[in-house]
Formats: sequence, C-alpha cells, structure tokens
Amino acid sequence: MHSPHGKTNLLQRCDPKALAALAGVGLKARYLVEGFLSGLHRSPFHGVSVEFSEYRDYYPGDDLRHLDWRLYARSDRLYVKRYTQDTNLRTYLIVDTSGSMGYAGDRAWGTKLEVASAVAAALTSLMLRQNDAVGLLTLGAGELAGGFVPPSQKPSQFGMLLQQLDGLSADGGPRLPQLLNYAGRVMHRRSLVVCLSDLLEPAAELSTAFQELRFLGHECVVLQVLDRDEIEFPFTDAGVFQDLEDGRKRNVNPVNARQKYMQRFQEFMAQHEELLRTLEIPHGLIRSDSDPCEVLSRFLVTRKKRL
Amino acid sequence: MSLSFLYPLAWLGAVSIAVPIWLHLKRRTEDNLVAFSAMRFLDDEPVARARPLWPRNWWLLLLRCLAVLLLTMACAWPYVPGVHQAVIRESRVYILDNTLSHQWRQGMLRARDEIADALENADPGIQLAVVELTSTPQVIVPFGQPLDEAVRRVRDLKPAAQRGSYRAAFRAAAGLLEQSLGVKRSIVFSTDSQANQWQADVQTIPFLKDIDVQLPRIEVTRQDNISLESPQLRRFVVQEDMLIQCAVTVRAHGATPPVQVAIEANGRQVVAQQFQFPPGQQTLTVLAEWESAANEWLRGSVVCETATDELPADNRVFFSLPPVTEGRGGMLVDSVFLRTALSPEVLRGRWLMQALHTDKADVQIEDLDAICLESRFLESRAVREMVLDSLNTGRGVVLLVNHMSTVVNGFLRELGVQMDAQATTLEGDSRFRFVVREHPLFAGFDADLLGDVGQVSVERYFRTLDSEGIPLLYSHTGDPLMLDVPGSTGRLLVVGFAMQSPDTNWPSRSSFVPFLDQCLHYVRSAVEPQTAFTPGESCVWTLPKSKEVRQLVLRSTAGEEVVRAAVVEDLARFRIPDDPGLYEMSYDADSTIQHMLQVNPPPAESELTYVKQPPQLDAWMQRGVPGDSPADAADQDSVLALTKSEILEQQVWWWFMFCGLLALFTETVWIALRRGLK
Repeated sequence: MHSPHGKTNLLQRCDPKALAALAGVGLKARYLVEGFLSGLHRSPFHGVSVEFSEYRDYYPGDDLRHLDWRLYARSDRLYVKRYTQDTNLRTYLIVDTSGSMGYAGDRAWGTKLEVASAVAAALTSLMLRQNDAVGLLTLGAGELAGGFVPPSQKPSQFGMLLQQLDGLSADGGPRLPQLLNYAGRVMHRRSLVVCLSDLLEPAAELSTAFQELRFLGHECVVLQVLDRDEIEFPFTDAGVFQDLEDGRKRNVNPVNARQKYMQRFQEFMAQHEELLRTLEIPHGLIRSDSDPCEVLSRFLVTRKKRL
Repeated sequence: MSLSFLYPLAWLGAVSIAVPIWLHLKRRTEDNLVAFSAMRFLDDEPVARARPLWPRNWWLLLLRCLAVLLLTMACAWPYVPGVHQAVIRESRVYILDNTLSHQWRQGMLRARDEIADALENADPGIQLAVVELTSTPQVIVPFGQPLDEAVRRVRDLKPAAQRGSYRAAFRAAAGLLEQSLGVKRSIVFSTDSQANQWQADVQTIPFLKDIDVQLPRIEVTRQDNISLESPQLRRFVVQEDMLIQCAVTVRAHGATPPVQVAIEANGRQVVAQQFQFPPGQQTLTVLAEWESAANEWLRGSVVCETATDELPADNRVFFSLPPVTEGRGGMLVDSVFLRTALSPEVLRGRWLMQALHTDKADVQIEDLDAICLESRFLESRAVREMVLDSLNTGRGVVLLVNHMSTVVNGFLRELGVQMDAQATTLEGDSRFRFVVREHPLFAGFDADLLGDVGQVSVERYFRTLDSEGIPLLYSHTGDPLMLDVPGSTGRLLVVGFAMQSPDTNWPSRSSFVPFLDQCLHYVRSAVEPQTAFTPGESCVWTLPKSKEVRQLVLRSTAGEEVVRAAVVEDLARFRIPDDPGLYEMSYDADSTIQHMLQVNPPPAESELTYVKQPPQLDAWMQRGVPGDSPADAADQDSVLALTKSEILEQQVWWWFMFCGLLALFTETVWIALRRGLK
C-alpha cells in the first residue's frame, strides 16, 4: 500500500478504501459543541433553534424576542424560552513536528510525521463528509505559528489541509506543550482537539498544557504515533546513537541497554496513560509499521461505543 | 636515471588528493551512527566523545591517494631522459631554396643533389627532414621518412620561378624540430642568401630556440643581371585604326650591356631590336606600337637577351589584352559637336550611341553601358531618375554642365558636387593649367598619340565649390573643370563646361573624339580584376554575382588544364601556376575565355645581391639563459623535443597508468567486498 520510506504525495498515500471504511463508522463527540450549521452533534448552548428546551425566569437584559408573550398573557409572569440546537463539530487537528517525529524504523512505512499526517488526512476526510469543520495547527521549525488553517466545512478544505500536511517537516526540539498552548489561544469556541504526536516530551509540561485545554472546555483526543524501534528497541549492533532533536550522541550497546530502555519506556507509557486518563482524554496508539487507517478505525469504533 | 615531466604544471592536479581524504573522513563519521528519536530513555548511556577526524582504514586511504598520485603523474607525461639520446644524436632539417634567384648557375640543382646525397649517406643517429622554400614552404621529407622515398622526392624537385619567404621556411623547419627527438637540432640552409629576401623579414620575434643554423659559404656578394618587368599595354583608336601601345621596362642590375629586345604578339614578331641603356641609368623603357584586330585576344611575350646574363629565367615576360567589344550608349545632348563626335559613323566599332528622348515616360536604359548628357536635360524629372537609376545599376554617366538652375544645382548636390550657379568667364590665357595625366582617362594623351590636351582652352565654365570627386582638369585659374565622382555603383564624370563655342575650343581639336571615347570607355568599365601574378602566388578571384559559376578553370595556352577551383559564394581560391606564362580562365564546362592571367617572374628575384652573415638570422635566434650547463640544456632539449606519441612509446607512462587504474580497481573491489560482508 505504501512505500516504506519514500516521500509520496499524501493524496496517494491515503487509501480511498480505508477512508470509505472510516466514513461508515462516523464520529460523534461526547460533549455538545458550539456550531453554526445543523448537524449530528448536540449543542450545549440554548439559542434560537427549532427544538424547545425549557422556560426560565426573565431577567433584565434578556433578549425580548425570546419572551413567551402567550404565557405572559395567561399567567402575567415573564418567562424566557430556551431551545436546544443540533450543531456541527469544530475540530482542530494538532500535528507535532518535533525532530523525533522524523524517525522511521526499518519496518515503518514512513516517518512518524508521515504517519501522523496520513491519519490527520483521513480524519479530515471523515469530518468533512459529515459537514464538520476541520482546522489544522502545526508548528514550524523556528516559528511559533508555523501553520494554522482555520476550521471550515467546505469541501476545498480537504485539499488545503493536505497541502499543508505535505509541507510539514520534522525538525527542532520538543514543542508539543507550546503547540497546545498556542491552540488554547487560537480556539475561541469549544472544539474537539485531536493531537497527533509521539508524546516524547516531559510529562509535567504536557499535563499543564492538556489541563488548560480541558479547562477551556475543549474535548481532546490523543493519537500517539510510535515506531516499532521505540517500542521494542530491537537494535543489536553497538554504535553511536544520535538524538534527532538536539543532536547529542551517546555510545550505546543495545544488548546491554535494552532491558533498562524497555523498563523506562513502559514507565513512560504508563505515566502518560495515567495522565490522560485523569484528564478524561481518550488515548490511542498508532505504530508506524502498521496501517494507520485500520488502527484509527478500531479506535473510532471503540470511541463510538463509549458515547 | 632521472624522471622528467613534459607538463610539470599537471602536478597541480595532485591537489585532488584531498578528495579521497575528505571522502574517507566523511564516510568514517557516517559509519555506525544511528539517528534515534527516543534518546530520552538512553540518557544514562555514556556520551560519545567527539573524536578527532582520524582515518581508520589506513590501507584503503593510502590506496586511494596512490591512485590519484599515479594518475596525476601520468597526466604530467613522465619521461625518462636518455632513452632516446642514445639513438638520436641530432635532428637536422635541410631547407632547399627553390626560388627563381637560386637558379643562378644551376644553384638549386646542385643544392638538391647535395641534399639527396646527404640523405643517402645519412648516419642512423641523425634525423633528417627537408623543407622546400617556394612561395609557400613545403615539407618534402618529414622526420622518419624511409630513405628511398625521401631521396626520390628530393631528386624529383624541379627549379621553380617563385619567390618565397626565408622566415616562413625557417618557421616550418623550426616546427619540424619541435617534434624531433635529437639532442642537437640544426638547420642547413641551401640557398643563395639573396639580400632582399633577408631584408623582407626583419620584424619578427625570436623563434629559433637553441637551433644551430648552417648557411652556405657565399663567395661573391653581387652578380650582374638583366631582367624584364611586366609590360603595360593599351588599345587606342586613332582615326580608323586600332593601335596597341606597349611599354616594357628592362632593368639592369650591375652592368648595362646592350640588350636585344624582341616582342611577339599573336604569333607575329612586332619588335626585334637592340637597345642601349641611357648613360648612368639602370632602366630602359621600350615603347612599341602596332596595329591589332579589335575583336580578338592579344597575347604575346617580351624577351630580352644580352651577351652576359647570369639568370636567363627572368628574361621573358608575358602580356595579354582582351578583345574590344562595341559599347552601347545613350546621349542627351544639344551640342552639334557632341552629336557629331558621338555619331555611329565616328565611333564605329567602339560605340553605338543612340539619342534618348525625354518625352517618354520611362527611358529604356537596360541595354546601355554608358550615358552622355548635358545638364540642361536634368530639368526633366524622368532624366534625373534615369541618371540615378543608371548610377545605381552600375552604368556610367558623363555629365557635361552647360546649364545651371535651381533644379540642376540641387541634383548635382545630390550627386555630391556643389557648383556655382553663375558661370565663370576667363579672359586672356584660358588653357588647362594642369591635367592629371596619371589618371587612366588621360593615359593615352601622355605621348600625344591621341592629341595634345595642353592646347585646349576653356573660357567659360561653372566653378566647382565643393565636391568629394577627384579633379582631373584644372582651369587656368586653378578651378577644377572635370571631376571623377565616387559614391555610386556606376562611374560618374562631371565636366564643368559645355562642349560648344565659344565656351571651349576643344571640339575643334584632334583630341576631342578620343577624349569622349576615353570618357565613355572609362565610365563603362567596372573595376578591372588583377590579371598579373607571380608564380605560386595565392589568389582569391571574385566572380560577378550575375553569373552562376560552380568551377573556375585555368588552362595553359597549349590547352592543358592546370587549375580547377570550386566557387563558393562568388569566390574562388586557388594557387597561381608555378611556371610563368599565359593562362586562360574559363567557367565550368564553357571554354570561352573570360580572362587571361599573365604569370611573370617576380622582379625582386632578379636582384642578385647576396649576404654572407645576415643580421636577421641573429634576430630570429632565441638564446637560452646564460649559465645553463650544456648537459642540462641537452636533457631539457631532449624532453622538450618530445611529443606525446613519443612519450607513449615509453613503458614509463603505461606503467603509471596501469598502476593508477589497478589501485582504483582494487579500491572498488575492496569496498564492494566490505559492503557484501556487511
């Protein structure tokens, strides 16, 4: 399906069959979000809509258009009508572009960034099919706001996001906390935030960033992209290992270091799962040596059952 | 045994040794390096030391450097001096002077035989080559030529009547010696050492580097000689007769004995007479006149003989003249004198003049060669356009100014002549003050054959104020009366006075009709091509654009084809035949004679003055740096004299190339094996 390491066009990489499978699953957010158009998602806010919800007492300053004059005539009391509106979902895809995302193991079909981009594209296609607005947030190498595509439900948004995703390159140090903070400032309405990252960042900084997003009322989903080499550490030859982010080198004998590595990696995974569980943030793991669309489908089915 | 290099500068290529070193160090840093993302789980592993860039595979690096060095040395063309020294002691070039002057007392034949003998008895340790000095020096025998073939080629050489350049011959010899193998290099010049030959090549930069030059022993420095120069011939019409006037100069170099001159024309001997040189003079001009048919080629020769002539080869010169073709002309004149002089009865056989009419819308001039008109007719616009059209299409115009107006004056300015609007009248002596007799127009009047123009008077004329033309006649007060005006394809003669009484008395003079005839003939003829050449000369012949010619053919008078040259873009390039004589030129398969070339001996070769030690030769010699030891110089000479092909004959160069390529091959195999094992 994919060339293991070759950089191909994202449109070609996203298998249409896999995208069709995702469209059959559907995606609903657990919480009501604000939107403009009628859709499949329930809004948490009351406004001028078709479906009546309840009455409440009138307070000075309320819009007089919402007063129920008939009830006032009957009861001589002022009540304001409240409505419940189905609205569409506003989704922000956040793609981590730190240097570690550029890693690709021997069996991977692409770098972790390429995998994350493919998944983001698949989600974009899915959202747009059900008239949800999708946007994209990334960070460039030396800029704070490397790429921000405002959410839109137009069909042309898919091509725009693909173009943006195609231009991404993994470079520089850890930047996911900065990216999440930036997302919190950019998003003014309650939205769904899908974060695609390897999460190879200090857990404390990530915790603060996710807490802020949750505090602002945003629904978050974390899709963690990892390579087989990072999970299993299958190296055998001794050599110099160089950090993709800061360039520092260490002499490593993998045979001796493997046990300690695996222990620390599992602690890292457990720590992050605990953090995300505490914040009620769904977490999925995508391996770069497997088909991301299949993994994503399984994750979405699991999420649907939880709704 | 020391090693030398033909191109030591190629050693700069050794700088490229940095390339394998850089590649080696670069590849070293890439080995066993794993770029990994999850280094945060390995941060307790030891930090990799930043080791200096020190090569690890010494043998591989040395192999690569060795390959580069060996190939660099091969590119510098290594050479082991001494290999050829034992074989070739000397390289020697004979220059055989085969110019006309060397025929004195069989000098060329004797020199030829001496060189052939030297070739036959050549020492195996001496390389020999022969250069023939002719108009273009030719290498008759190059180095390495088999002896039998070389001797045959030299003995086949025949005395030539050409003139060549000593310097060009020495350059050819020096070029041969640059390719030679001998330790010593020398030039043997078999020549008469003619003085004017040496003096012709004074200015040049030294080009004979460490070459010994051997000159012949000169016993006498001067020889008496009588020679002929190319004759000058003209056709004239006097009354009803077509006359040929011939002027030939006999030149004496040294003694001036009586000389017997014989002129032969079209198989008829027209002059056979003995002449004496004027006292104290070295030249004698023989003038001869005879009648000749106008419609046939005139071809002949002049021969001079003396009792004691040292060089008979320069005693005969050839001449030719084309047949006369009747010209067609048009006239627009009012003058009765002009009408009469230009009438067919007067110019029969020379010109057929017709009167043109200005009332016709377009005057037919396609068939005309020249036009004669008076300025009064320029008031007509059609005539003005006809004049311009004639000049632009290569037809000649003789314009006689007998009338001036604003229109005529403006038209003359357009032609490049500015004239006074008012006529000038002279009183008293009104004869010509000066006549440019060197001009072809007045050449026939020089000897009063065609009348005396000095008796012509002009009393009224239009003064020329400004013009780009060449004045040919001057009035008594110094005003130009006749102009040869350039600037157009056709020739234009402007005469500033009317041919009528009382403006001039010329119509009543005997020179009037010849003058008009000469004027029409001058404006009719285009620029005549040069037909006089010396043997062996290079010639570029321009053909008229109107003719589609593919080949130009030269034949001797006996009918033998001697030259056939292709015509490219109206130009034919060929070499003039080596033998003096007349040569008929024709185009393609048509045997009609278009031109006749006269090939005569070069006059400079007749001056038999010799030089024993020419200073020019010292100027040509390029001396080595003082202080150089002869042994070192010999070694350097030996190396510098080598060519690449001779170096390739050595095994040294091949060994360098072989070892260099072997090192590269080994390196490639080594790398491939290492990758395979990995």
